[in-house]
Amino acid sequence: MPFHDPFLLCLLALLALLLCGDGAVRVFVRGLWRSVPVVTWRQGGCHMAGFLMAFAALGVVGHAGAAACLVALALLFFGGGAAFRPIWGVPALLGYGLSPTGLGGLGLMALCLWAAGQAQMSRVGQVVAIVLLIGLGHGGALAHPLLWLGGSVALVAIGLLVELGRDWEVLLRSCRLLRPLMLLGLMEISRQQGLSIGVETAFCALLLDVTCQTIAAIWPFAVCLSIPAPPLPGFVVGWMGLHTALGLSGGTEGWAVIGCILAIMVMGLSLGDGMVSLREAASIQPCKRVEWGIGLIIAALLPSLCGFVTQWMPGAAGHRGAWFYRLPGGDGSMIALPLFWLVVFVVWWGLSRGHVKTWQSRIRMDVLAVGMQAPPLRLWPIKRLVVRGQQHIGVVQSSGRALLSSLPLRDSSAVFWLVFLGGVLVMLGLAQ
Amino acid sequence: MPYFIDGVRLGLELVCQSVALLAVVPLMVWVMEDVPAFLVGRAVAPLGSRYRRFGHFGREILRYGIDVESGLMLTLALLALLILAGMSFIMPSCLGLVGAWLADPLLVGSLILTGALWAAPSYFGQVVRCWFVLCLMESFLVLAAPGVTGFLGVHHLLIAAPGSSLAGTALCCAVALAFLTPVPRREVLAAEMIEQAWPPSRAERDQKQRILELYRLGWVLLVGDSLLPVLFGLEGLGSVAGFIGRFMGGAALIIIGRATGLSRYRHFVALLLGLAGLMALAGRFAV
Repeated sequence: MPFHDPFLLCLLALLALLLCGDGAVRVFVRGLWRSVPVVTWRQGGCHMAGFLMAFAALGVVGHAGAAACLVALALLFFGGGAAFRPIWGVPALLGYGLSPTGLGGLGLMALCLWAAGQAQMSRVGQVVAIVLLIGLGHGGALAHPLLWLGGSVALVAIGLLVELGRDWEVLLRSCRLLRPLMLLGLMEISRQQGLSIGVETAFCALLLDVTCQTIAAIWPFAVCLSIPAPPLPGFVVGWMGLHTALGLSGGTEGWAVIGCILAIMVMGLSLGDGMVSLREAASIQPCKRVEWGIGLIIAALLPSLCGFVTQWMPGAAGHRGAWFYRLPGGDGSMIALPLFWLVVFVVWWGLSRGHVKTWQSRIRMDVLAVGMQAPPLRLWPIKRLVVRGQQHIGVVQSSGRALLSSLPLRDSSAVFWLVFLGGVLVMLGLAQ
Repeated sequence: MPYFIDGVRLGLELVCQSVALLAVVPLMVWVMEDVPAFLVGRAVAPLGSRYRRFGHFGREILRYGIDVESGLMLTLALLALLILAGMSFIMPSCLGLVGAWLADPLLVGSLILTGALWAAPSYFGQVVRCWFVLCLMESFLVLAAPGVTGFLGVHHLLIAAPGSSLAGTALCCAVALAFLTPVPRREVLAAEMIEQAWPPSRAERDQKQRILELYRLGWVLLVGDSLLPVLFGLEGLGSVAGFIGRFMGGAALIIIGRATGLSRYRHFVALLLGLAGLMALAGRFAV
């Protein structure tokens, strides 16, 4: 049963939060005794069924085959045929059912990433896909963290290559998909290397990240929470991920350089996600003062709450109250961000208390949107690099051909068989 | 009860620090803006006029308050300056809070970058570039000294092991930061405000310029802190001297970079960062 696993319990709680906040589900429930338009009612019913399937999938996580069927059903209910293409979805899920912790986990990952990246899916459906992926893929990540990390990066890269010609925003939107997966990979690598504080911090960052996405799915204004500007939770996610990776590079032998690269990657993903969030925040309707207040309180308390839950769930005996005045990085460094928030509130109130009453909530995020309309990422340097590489390859090929023509091997098939033979011999030598 | 007394002492400490900081801010602005102009040979206003202008700004705020949005930005700027100043008068343990738990280069640098982005959204590309430099700097510092916490941690490590690779890493990062200008200059900001037609009134534009001056000073202090972390963790009146010393170091670095035109070459930043990374790696693998 998953109820002994704190990780799955957190994910189930997030799913329940989504279920309570989803507008379509609310319409469906109201439609049970009142008249609502049948199209929206049917959509709400689909969401409801999808949620039930998702709950069931997380409940039977031990039985990979049943979980795979339920995942397929949930994705179908949420996104229809666009989210689940049976032609490659069924073999991928079959792979997951056969070896859930091995290579088959990549099939599930491809499926869920594809569904979460689809623009036709509602935000709620995207978050459900991410939650399902994290919950069901946890076993695979636990067994082979490196495979998980490399597989997620490779799959997102393949998705980008497929989609890149269509839409530039795909590049940025994939940051939001990749970051939780990288945090999960970091968590499991830290566990493998025996860095308990890194595990805790990465778990906290992962939980914070998914919680922010959940809240943003049910309350569009909350997308501002994931902007990586300092006192906001988006920055905390990036900072904790960065320091977990740095702790990995500082605390273990073989990870010194790769940990640094991972750290920069996590922070870069945060930045890309922040650009998408800024663009989404620019299109939000101005909202009331009360909503601003609620948003500020959530922003101030959410990291501490996530950390508290992180430490409370596994029942670790530690100084739990400390989460309410400081947040640890994974490598022994701390930031006293909650105290910082406290001082900010006090000073801010002192400076502009006379203006709060008359303050009109005039979101001026559109000013930021001007800066966001920078010309799209030009890939000219990369294209130039590719062309130069092709030229180099051509030179090497021609010189190789000239070299080969002096040998008696004119036949290209003979060269292939020789290389094949050499490869087999090398494999045999490695196997011994 | 002891918690209460500690809280009161902490509040007193913060008030003392703020007063000391606010007394020095106009002088710092004068050093950063008027002294280079004076050295070039232009006529500049005396130091007293800077103090008068800041006094006017403060009086306006105390009398009428400040707009909510500008108030948040002013708060963040003041806190960033307070964190970077790293002073301590009554309560030395407060330095552990402000200097170690908050003086994270990435945290404070991002605070400054947030202010810059708020003032001039068209600086977005520049801000992103500076942000990557900050991330790299944080990684290199941790790589050179695993488990270091804030500038105070760097200070303690440098005292414990002088001449380590950490000093070289911090120096290279400081020079790289000095060649970047994330916060828009006065003229750029004025042009930006005219273009956007926001804020509408002249008084508010002046306020915005004052707030941005604080952010500019914050960047200078960040450069100074990473240039001379040895002067960071002093106590009592020595901390004010260390603060001034660090600021002067950062200001000298930035003014030299601007005067010699070195800051126009973007490749230097990449070169210096590469050097910092090499030093950090060398220090890590030498142990």
